[in-house]
Amino acid sequence: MLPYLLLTPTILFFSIFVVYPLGVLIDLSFHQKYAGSPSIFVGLRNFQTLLQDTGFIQSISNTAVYVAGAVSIRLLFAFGLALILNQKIKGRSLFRGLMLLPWLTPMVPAVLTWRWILSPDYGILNYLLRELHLITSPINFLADPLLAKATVIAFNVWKYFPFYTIVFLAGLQAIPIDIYEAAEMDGANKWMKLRHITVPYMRNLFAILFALSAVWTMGEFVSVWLLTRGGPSYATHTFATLAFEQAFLNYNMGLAAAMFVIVLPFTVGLTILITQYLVKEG
Amino acid sequence: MACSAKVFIISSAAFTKTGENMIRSRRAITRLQGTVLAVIVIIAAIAGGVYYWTSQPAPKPPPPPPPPKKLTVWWSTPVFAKEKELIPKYIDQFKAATGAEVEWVQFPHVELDQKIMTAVEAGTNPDIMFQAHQHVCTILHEKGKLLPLTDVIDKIDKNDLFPFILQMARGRDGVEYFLPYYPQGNWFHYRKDLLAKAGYSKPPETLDQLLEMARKINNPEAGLYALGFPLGSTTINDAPMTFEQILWAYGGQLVAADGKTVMINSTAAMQTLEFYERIIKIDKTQTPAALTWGAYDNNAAFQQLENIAFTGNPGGTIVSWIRDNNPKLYPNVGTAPWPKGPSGKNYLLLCAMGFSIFKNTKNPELAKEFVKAFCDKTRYKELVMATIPYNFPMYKSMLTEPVLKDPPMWEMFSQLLDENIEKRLWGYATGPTGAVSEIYSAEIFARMIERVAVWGWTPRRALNEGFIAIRDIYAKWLAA
Repeated sequence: MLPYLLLTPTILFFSIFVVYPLGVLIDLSFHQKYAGSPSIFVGLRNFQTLLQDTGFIQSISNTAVYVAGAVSIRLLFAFGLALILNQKIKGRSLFRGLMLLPWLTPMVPAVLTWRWILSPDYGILNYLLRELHLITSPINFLADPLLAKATVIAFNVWKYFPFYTIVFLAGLQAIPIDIYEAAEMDGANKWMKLRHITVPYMRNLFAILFALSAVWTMGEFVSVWLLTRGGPSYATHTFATLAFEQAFLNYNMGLAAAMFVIVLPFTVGLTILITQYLVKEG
Repeated sequence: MACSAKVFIISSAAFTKTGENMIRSRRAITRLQGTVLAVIVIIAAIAGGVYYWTSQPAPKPPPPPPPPKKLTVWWSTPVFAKEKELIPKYIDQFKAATGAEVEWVQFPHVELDQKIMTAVEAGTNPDIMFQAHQHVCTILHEKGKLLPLTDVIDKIDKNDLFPFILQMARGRDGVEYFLPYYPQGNWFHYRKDLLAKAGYSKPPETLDQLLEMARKINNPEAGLYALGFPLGSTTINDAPMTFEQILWAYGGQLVAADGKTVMINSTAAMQTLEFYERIIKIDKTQTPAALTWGAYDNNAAFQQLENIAFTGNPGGTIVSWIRDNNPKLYPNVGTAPWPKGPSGKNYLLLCAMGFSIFKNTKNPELAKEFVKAFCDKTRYKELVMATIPYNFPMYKSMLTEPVLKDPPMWEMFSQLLDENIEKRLWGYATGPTGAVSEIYSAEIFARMIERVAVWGWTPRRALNEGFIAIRDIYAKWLAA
């Protein structure tokens, strides 16, 4: 009896703040619900509408590209940087400190700075490219579908890589030094040490960071919204920004809820995978 | 013996003395007893009195005054310093006159719509809202959430109002639900100096002239684009309002006056999209940066960066900003009627910021009194003049104020009196309705432009997609 009693607060908290809202969301997805109007049960009509909506399908494909691009580039970049910052180089502490800056910069000023840098009218990047005679007319980074996609991915990588670098650094420092010494005595070069010692030791960390990063990036809203608002013309809309637009600009709560319900199995699936992996490793 | 006698005498004297003392002591005791008794009696009397007094039922205190009535007012953040000073002053005057409490809450105007809709959903909406561009009010009115304002509007001097003010105030059911307190025009701006440099002495009168001038002025290598029309879906209202201006010039319109027949699938709408295709992709006279502009970026390009020659803007913020912050540029700012198209007419799109009252307010009469207090002509004049030229007065008589005669301002405001320029509300021919608001907030017009400019769609394909979206929105609102 006592264990159940002790679990009660957690169960209550979980029920009120997770289960109930999720239930409301799922229920809402089966209704036509505009803000300020009563809701009408419409069965699967919202899902049918979404699956026929090119904008929504594009947002799913954008989300996939965004998650795949941002997660893979960020993890590789962070791991590479962690390897460098783990070496005995001059000014290592300074570089480790400076590396944290993007992560510590609040989101809104960071996005505005990027918009300023990239502006075709007054951006410093276009100015530099023109001064170097690399371009003749300014590049509109946020108005070209491909460049806009690349920009939102680059921003995401830039903003969050410090966190991953720190975690990788901690992981690297946990590898016993004597293993490297033994390998050196056996004639292993740097590449062999990386391949046969560092990478296998970091495998678990990679797996966990990959899964966490994928879940977090999938739900990323603020940076995309502030940079492009999903534009130009749906080119950078992720399901999170499109759902926000449906709910708070078009006031179509039912359709927005249905978007989340469609994506829910993916996020829940990833979470289950992480949990299973952790339990197995534990 | 003598000694004994002496002792006796002394003793008897002493005795006598002791006796006297005893008698004196007894008197003292008696006096003391009397005093104590008197004190006791007095205390008892007081205690008794107190007991008697306290045991009586207390007289009822006067009933507390009823709590003051309260109004919550959500307001799109005022722009001008004088306005920020006057509004609280008028609210204080209203509080003093009525004894009511007023909570005045300001929100940036791009956020207010969302705040209101979520508050309505949560049942925590304010009593009164002062909102830009009517978007949310039209939707809420058609959902039956707003109080009719007929008796408020009846109190104002209707004869002095511009005729379109009452048109803006009414819903498609004919009920007045919105007080268009700060009317605004969608003004066409141009740079006099850049036109002069290209050899032109006056602004374009037709769209063809505009295209020709744009080609001549355009110089992207020098960082100057001729046209800076708001284009994309991130401009809030600027892009759709510009689209409607061009659409009207080509003789098109969104919907028929019956509010049911969607008229966007027309040759005029095709020509409008072809116009955009031309300036963006063929002539390349339109700055491509406009595809990602926010609500204020066309202002910034014109007034601060000075890298565009023509733009359109709802409200006279560009002129007011340049007047206050860039005096060197001020003489070079021109406003003119939007160029004519094949329709052969000039049109001016009108919108407004204004008051609405929620039906679920606990104090409907007080809320109406609040709005009426702000409509007092002296107060109104002081307030609206503080916002010139962002807004213009709803009363015709106030257009005679000398402050409005400054050239760039008068070029705008004289259009209101020019009978050759047809004034139309956004969402013509019905004006703002729930369906029109949704078309604007879903950015259907801007999406069509983006399809052509970004994705390379033909104007026909983009128009087909836009038409289907608009038709569906109307069908939904008509069914509701």
